[in-house]
Amino acid sequence: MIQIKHLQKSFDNLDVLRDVNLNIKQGEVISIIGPSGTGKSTFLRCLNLLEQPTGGSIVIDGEEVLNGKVNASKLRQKMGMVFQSFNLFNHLSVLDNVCIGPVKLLGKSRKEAEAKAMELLKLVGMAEKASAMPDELSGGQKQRTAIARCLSMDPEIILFDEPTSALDPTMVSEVLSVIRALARQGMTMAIVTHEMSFARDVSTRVVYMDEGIIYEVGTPEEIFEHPKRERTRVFVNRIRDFHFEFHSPDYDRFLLKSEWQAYCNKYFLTRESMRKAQLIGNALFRHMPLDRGTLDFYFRYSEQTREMSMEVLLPIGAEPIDLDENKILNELCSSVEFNHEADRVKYRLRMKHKNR
Amino acid sequence: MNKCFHIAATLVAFLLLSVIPASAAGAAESAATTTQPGATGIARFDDLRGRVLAVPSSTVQDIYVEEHYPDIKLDRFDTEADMMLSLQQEKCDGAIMDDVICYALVRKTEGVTILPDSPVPPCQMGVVFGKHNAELCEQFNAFIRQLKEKGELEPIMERWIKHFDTAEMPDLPLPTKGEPVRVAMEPCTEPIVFIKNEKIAGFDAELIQRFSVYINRPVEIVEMEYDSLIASTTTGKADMAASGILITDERAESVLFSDPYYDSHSRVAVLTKNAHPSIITGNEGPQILGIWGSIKRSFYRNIIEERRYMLLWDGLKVTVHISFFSALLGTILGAFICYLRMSKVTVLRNIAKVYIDVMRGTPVLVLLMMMCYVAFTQFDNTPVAIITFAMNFAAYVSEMFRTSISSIDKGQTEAGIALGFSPVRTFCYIVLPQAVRRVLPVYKGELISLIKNTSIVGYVAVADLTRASYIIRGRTFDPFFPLLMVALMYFLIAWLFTYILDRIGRKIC
Repeated sequence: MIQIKHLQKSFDNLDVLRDVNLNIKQGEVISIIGPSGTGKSTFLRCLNLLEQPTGGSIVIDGEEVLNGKVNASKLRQKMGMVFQSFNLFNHLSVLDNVCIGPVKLLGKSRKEAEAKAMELLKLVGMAEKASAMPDELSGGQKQRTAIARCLSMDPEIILFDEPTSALDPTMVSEVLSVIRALARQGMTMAIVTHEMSFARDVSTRVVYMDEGIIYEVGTPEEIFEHPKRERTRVFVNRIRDFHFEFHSPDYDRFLLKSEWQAYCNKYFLTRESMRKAQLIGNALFRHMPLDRGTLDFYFRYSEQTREMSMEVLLPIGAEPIDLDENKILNELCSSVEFNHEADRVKYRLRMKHKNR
Repeated sequence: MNKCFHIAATLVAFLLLSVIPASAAGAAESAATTTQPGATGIARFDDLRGRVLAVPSSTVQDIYVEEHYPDIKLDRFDTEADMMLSLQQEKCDGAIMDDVICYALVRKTEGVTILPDSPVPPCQMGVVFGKHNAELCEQFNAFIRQLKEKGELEPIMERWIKHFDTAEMPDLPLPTKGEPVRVAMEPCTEPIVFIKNEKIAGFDAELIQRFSVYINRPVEIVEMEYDSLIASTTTGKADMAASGILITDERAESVLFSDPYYDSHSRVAVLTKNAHPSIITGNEGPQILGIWGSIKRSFYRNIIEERRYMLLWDGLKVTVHISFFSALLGTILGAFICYLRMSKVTVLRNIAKVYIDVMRGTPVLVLLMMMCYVAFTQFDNTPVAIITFAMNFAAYVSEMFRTSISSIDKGQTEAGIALGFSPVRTFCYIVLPQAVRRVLPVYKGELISLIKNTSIVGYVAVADLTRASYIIRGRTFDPFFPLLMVALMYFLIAWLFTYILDRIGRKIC
């Protein structure tokens, strides 16, 4: 249905989208996830030409839309868009918001449009509020009305641009369940979202965007359970790094301790986990060749899985050390392994993890 | 219901405001004065030394007294009627003016006496022609010569000056065919030129009519402010001007004067109670009428007598006409300026910016005079005034439009476009209704101030509501009633306009 090839978009000299390639098929629900500022929203806005892409091609139903000949307004009528900030027409009632498109653009009679609008409002649970003005509504109600307004144009695809980001947590679910219902009806949708669990169970495919490209695409299971690439893994597991550099055996232990402590407090690690991690750390640093140059230490914690791990990059040229006999490590770690990365040796330790 | 109450309350407030000073002035007449006269009172002009004298601004009297009597403090006025009021309110001790006017005024004003002497040398009255109109001037001179030879000029003057109360315009067979002669006049000065029974009257008016018969061409009277009379003959707004204009060397430099037809002497009016008994000529004291009596009398004299309400009615029509079309044209022009101001093209944006700055930075009166006397001299003043007010109005409203349009969230436009509206239709269906709703309250305020601003069209000889009150005041010397009526009428026009606007606004939004 939609083929996107080598799509580029830059603002002045900032490249937001560098090379985006994606095919969207009829009936697909595609979630687009990724860190902030990686061009997810821009990508969506390029699809319905709210932003003019600077390069590449978008082919919709076999027709190239970036050659400047296409009627953008006609195109947008078939592509609904739901905004983060709802953007209901403030001067129109809920009913009129849903009627204005069909009446003014599709040439339907007022009566016909109203009947259809009431049906849609029932679908999103807003029929009772049909005569209300937008400023009398809660955020969730506004967003559901906005979805009904989109549907009033009978779109072939709906683009959701962070539909729940501006909502109170209590209202997120009412909007998500409307979107879920649409997904069940087979509506084609592209959703930019930060709701990971929602993305996981509603979408047919998940797109992870980073650095202006589509970094990894897969089924929800592939992306969330077995991400192939490191950045994807870091993102979906919400892995947080703590980094410390050792320059000599007389490193500042108090600085290390206080920074590490602050990190643990920030991510709400238990005192128990903190104590164990420091035990491992102390055992580790005792064996490390700290006199050979700079040594990098990473402590990693996943907010998603609550797993903790450590990584140690030995100084350049240092030989691997045998840690197999270390009691503390054996007791507290589920695995200790090392490999050569370029000219440095890298240790990876996984801490034992109690499953919830 | 609420609205009716509102109007009634405002009316009562107006009436009270007008009555209190009136009765206060009456009471003050018997009370102590600001400047106590000597035991003997004012008997001669010299007695005014060290006191305040009212003079018509930049006239022969003004210049002469200032030069020869530096110890007399001068208060300058535009009309003799205002001078007389000032005298009655004891803001000045004497009022000097042309004798014809003085006689007429004193007869209408209670408690005023004329001094027997005046130091200002007599001055001659003439009719003014543009320098290019020498031929017409010659014809007029011949006409005056003929009148004098036949001995007809004297009786005309006699009639108007001595018996102006009863004097009527002669019933002449006025010519209707031929190219009309346009005569500029200020019909606010009795008995020279004034409005009587809705018609122009006075000895200058009669002279002009007789002249019309003499040259067998119809006359078209162009009413305007005294200040504009002489200029109008040079800009071509009128062929000649007559309203008791005095011949001075200064004026003769830029225009042609006819041969003089009347020698005007200056006369000084003083309050009878300040005057020396020897010069008082049996003028009885003020009548005591009481508050309701004086309101009734004022109402009759200012509104009913000589069907003066027709003057107000005609003025009202002109004011509404100018206000309505200025607002309409100004709004359209304002929308266009706003469009330029918000354009993506820098040049257009700058043009709009300069336009707005210039229009807002210039007094609308100055602009109006420039438009009428410099730019569009060959056009009728009413449409020129409408265009001027529209231009000024446009500058203000365009900025209002701009701010209210840019105050509409960008998301509204985006949502409209994303729904499939073209940018233009998005503006019409989504942005405009919301912007109109926001701009309406400030727009209403600007509209009201436009309506009130139109009161300056009198300066370019358009007979609007304010001008009508001037004309009535010029006849009755009543300061309050005509002004009160006019204030009330402006209020009603403004109220009507905003009411209509509200109705329209409610329909749109």
